[in-house]
Amino acid sequence: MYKVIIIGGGPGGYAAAIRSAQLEARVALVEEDTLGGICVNRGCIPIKVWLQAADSLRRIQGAADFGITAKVEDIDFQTIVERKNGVSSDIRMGMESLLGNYGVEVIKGRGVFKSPGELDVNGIVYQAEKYIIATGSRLDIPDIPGLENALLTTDQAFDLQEIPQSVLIYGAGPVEVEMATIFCRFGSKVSLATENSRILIQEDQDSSQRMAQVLREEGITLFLGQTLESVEPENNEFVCHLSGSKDAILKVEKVLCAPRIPNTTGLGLENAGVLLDGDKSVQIDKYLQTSARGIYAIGDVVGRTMQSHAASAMAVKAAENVMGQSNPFPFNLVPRGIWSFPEVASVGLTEEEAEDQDLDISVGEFPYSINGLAMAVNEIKGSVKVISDDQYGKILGVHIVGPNANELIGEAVVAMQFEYTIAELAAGIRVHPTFSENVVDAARDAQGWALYLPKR
Amino acid sequence: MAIEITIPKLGLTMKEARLVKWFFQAGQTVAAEQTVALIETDKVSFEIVAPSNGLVNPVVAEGTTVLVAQVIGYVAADEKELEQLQKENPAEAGTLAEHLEDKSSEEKGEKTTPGTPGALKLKPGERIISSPLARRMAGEHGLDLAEIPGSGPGGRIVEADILQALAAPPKTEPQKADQVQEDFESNLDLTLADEIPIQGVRKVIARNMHLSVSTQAQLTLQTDASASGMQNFRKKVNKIIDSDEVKVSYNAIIVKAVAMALRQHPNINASMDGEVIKVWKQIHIGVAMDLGQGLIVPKIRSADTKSIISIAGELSQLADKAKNKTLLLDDLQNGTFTISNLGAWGVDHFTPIVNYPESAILGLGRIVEKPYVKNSEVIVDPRISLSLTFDHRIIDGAPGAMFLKTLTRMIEEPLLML
Repeated sequence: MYKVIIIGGGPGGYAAAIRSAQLEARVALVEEDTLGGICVNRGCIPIKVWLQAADSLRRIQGAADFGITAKVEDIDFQTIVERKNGVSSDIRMGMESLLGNYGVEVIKGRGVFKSPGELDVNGIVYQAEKYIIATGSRLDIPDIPGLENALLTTDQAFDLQEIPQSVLIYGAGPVEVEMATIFCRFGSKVSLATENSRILIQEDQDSSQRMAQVLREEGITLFLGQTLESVEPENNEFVCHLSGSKDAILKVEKVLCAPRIPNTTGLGLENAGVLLDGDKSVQIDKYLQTSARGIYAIGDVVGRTMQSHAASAMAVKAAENVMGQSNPFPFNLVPRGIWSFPEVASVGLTEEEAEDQDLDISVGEFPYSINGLAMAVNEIKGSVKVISDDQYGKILGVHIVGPNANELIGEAVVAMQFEYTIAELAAGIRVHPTFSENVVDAARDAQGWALYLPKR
Repeated sequence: MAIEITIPKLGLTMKEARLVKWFFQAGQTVAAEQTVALIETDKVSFEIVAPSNGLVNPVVAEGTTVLVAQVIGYVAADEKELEQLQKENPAEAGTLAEHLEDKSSEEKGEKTTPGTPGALKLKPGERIISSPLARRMAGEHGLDLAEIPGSGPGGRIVEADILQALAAPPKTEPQKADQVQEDFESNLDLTLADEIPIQGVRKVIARNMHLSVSTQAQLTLQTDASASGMQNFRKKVNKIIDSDEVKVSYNAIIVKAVAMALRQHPNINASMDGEVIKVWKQIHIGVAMDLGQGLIVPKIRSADTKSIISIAGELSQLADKAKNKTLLLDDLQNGTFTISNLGAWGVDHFTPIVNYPESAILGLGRIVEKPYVKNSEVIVDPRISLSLTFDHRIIDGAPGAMFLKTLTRMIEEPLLML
């Protein structure tokens, strides 16, 4: 009898296994595929390797601004793919050895609940006092006539040996925007279409607009409020029919789709009494417990922020709660990160969400274009936006578009976790010149005294 | 190199202490092992000695609450080093200011203005940990942070705690009895009369008691003994001792009897530690006292080697120290057996709880005259009830009973202690 069995060996399951073991649980981890999940094998890590390649190219192309003329003779995609595979494999090996080190038993196979206390893996029934469901998510390709022939998914994109000449990316969430900037950098003609009225619909409107502007400047065509109706082959290309405010037809080599849906089918969740929400995600309470007592769920499978760090952060609390603690998970402190050029990162409420709550707010903003470091290194696109509540000065949300946004958002997370008011953030001291000065300056702007902006 | 003066950890549960007094001012010369400062925890006072010869440089003000391992000052080797130290470690402005603020508001006997963040009424030495947002919110609503329990790490008061305090109904004046009666009949919900935070000594007692019953398999044996032998013995001794000596109490006699009985039954004088039973060489008897500040158990060291008269003297000193809150850690730690006497409250038998990690405790009831059959005749005999609780994991019923039997005989005939 195990203390806890964790189903799924991605970033959530892995972290939950280690945390449970640290708290002296006997732990088993069930994984049907390779350890690491989407993050290590087909997500975060592979995309970072591709981004580094794209960024190297971008820097070479931008070197002329600093008097360096260089010519790119060749791009060998095979090398990128091999490096990507190498990094993923190194991480998986590290995971395996650390799980072994912590005495976590890894069971290969698919875990299916027989009852609330019994899990079948390959015909063997395992029992545990508690369970953590960390089965992640999978691609959920829309049913569009003809799409399958033109389809490129993120499960395949990181193994490409050449970049399509032209691509339609259908959808405009974080992954789609990341892929758009990578393809564009490698010379592909990129179109981005979304049913929504703006890209990055879950982000603050200003971030969406700022990023849309950057994408257009990079040469990416945006089709907003458009639905992909059908895809038809024509010679070596595909004709895509978009409908919306005005219909459009475009010819591309590939269509990339990346929407994701929680992995909640075929797990016997109904046998365990685990209830789902309308979007197929597992229902949880603030302690990450599902509708079935003793069964917890973390990561992509609970919907919300489908990002690796959300899963691993939930993993810690779920494991602690499994071991008898009662630690609520701070959903409001989960940052969102997008690895595009430039990066987009945020935490907390958007301006619209704050207004929907009828809060009196102050908004501070500080553009990269007048930040000393940004000017020196010629990375001036972007801005830091800070939203605070007027009654107490509570920091409600921070939204960053710009270089190092994903690192900078950590400052906001710390400030919000420790419940700084806008006054503490505005009183901060940062090294000059750094991008981090923007966070302090934006907080000062929210208080109405940004030193380096024109008098208001 | 200047040497740090730090707060020692005086017990498993100790986290913080109050720095009561510095015996030296900055720049004064101190010798190693000389007492430099006095600290006070919820249980004991403790004298901190200088770690080396040199010049003292306090950095934390008197009256401040300090954490275990915190550096409260330094001993500098010479003038030059002292100067350097004073430059690097000026007396903590924050704590000093806080201390002075506490003092001035207390002297004036008034509450500082609510609504100003940071200007909160604190008892001297008490520090409230709270988030900036919580302070701002408390200020806006005129809440006293001292009255709000913190749910964050280390009891930090966070936004959620303030929201909860704001949502809680305001405290109302006590209602008249008939009104209360009426409400109780119509409303089955319980009404809160008072809410007492579990902290300080109460917290320590709660933790130790729970630890005791949750880890040990406790069993209580009860019997009673004739107290006439003890009464006669006490009268005789108190008649012959000098007038300046402390009168011998029943507790002193019983401490001695227990110590001598433990000598004959060394396996009772033991603790369980992981996979082994540790039998102790020394017999240190704790005597439970409650002098209005909560339960404390000062020890009579090596009671088996001391005379009843000196035990009586020590007990009286310990009681004085407990009243004045001047008990030192040495007076409280490392007991091997405990006595708890509830006789003064008219109790006969009870089931005492072992003072963890010891493995046995003796409960004493009142001495009361009862009809007793002796040699087929009913006589009036002063009886004292004895309740022995012990940890059955390491002491079985028979050895426990044998110890109680030895003890009973010694109480009935104190000469057997010789």
